[in-house]
Amino acid sequence: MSKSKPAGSHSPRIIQSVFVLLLLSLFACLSTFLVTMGAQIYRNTVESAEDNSNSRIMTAVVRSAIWAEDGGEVQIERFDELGITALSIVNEYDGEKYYKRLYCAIDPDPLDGEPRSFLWESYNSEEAEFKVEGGESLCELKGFEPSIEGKTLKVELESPNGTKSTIRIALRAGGAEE
Amino acid sequence: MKEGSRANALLVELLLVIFFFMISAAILVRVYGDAKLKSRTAHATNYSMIEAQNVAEDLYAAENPEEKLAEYGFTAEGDGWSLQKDGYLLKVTVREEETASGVLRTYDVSGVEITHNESGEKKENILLTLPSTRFIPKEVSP
Repeated sequence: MSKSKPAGSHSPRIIQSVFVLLLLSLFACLSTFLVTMGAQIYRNTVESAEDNSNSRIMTAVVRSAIWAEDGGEVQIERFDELGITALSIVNEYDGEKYYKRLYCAIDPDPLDGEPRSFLWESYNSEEAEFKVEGGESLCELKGFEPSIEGKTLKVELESPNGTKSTIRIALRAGGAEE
Repeated sequence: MKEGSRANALLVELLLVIFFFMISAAILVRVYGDAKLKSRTAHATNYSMIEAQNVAEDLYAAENPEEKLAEYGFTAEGDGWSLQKDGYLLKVTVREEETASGVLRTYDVSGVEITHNESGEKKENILLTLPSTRFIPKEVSP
């Protein structure tokens, strides 16, 4: 004949099970929170690094391209039929004018073939007709808006992820005209 | 009795796991904090560099550099000018060198990151300094 257990003898085991479950859920919540927080910080860090490198590359490319040819005359050219505003630096060699142009145009990406906006550089003599594809793409760039204010050249740039930067360059040797 | 000891063992195991998890979490939070701080410093260095280059170029080209600094929003502070930007400070100081034919005036444009140490004191960390030098010739009597 078996003895029947009193009604309250199950309650410590129930409390223990509930405690274990609570601990488990706390553990699950904390680990989810930690992973989410880590992922968020990792994403922010990567985005910030990308933003920094984009802005650094585009400003460095434009600055060095202008400084390399600063002895010439700086002009802003608008090619309305192509929808392009180009920054041109004109140098004269042996009585012939040569144009170095910096502009922003769309080109298929060499990796995936998707059309993307790039910063281009072209170098032509005065006689050669300006063609977008005649240049060389330097880096990915969404916006390029040059303007001249007195002795200073101002270029507004927009990176592929939408970060805007402005660079100002004092024109040293050559003159400037809009 | 057997069931009870198994439940206790599970509880101890769980508590041990949570204990180690808490230690790893504390280390990770510290690492995340450091990563965020480094990312902020890199951002400040990058943008202060771009802005300092712009200011240095403008000071080189300007007829009246003080007026140009005021246009940027710089305020006179001690022996120089300063401008608070997003996450960094731009400072401009002037030094002059007399030469036989004129004065060599150099504007040092610095990007400064402001941090607070553990006791809450403000600490200035100079990220970069760009000099912009102008030569002002002496007036020659006819």
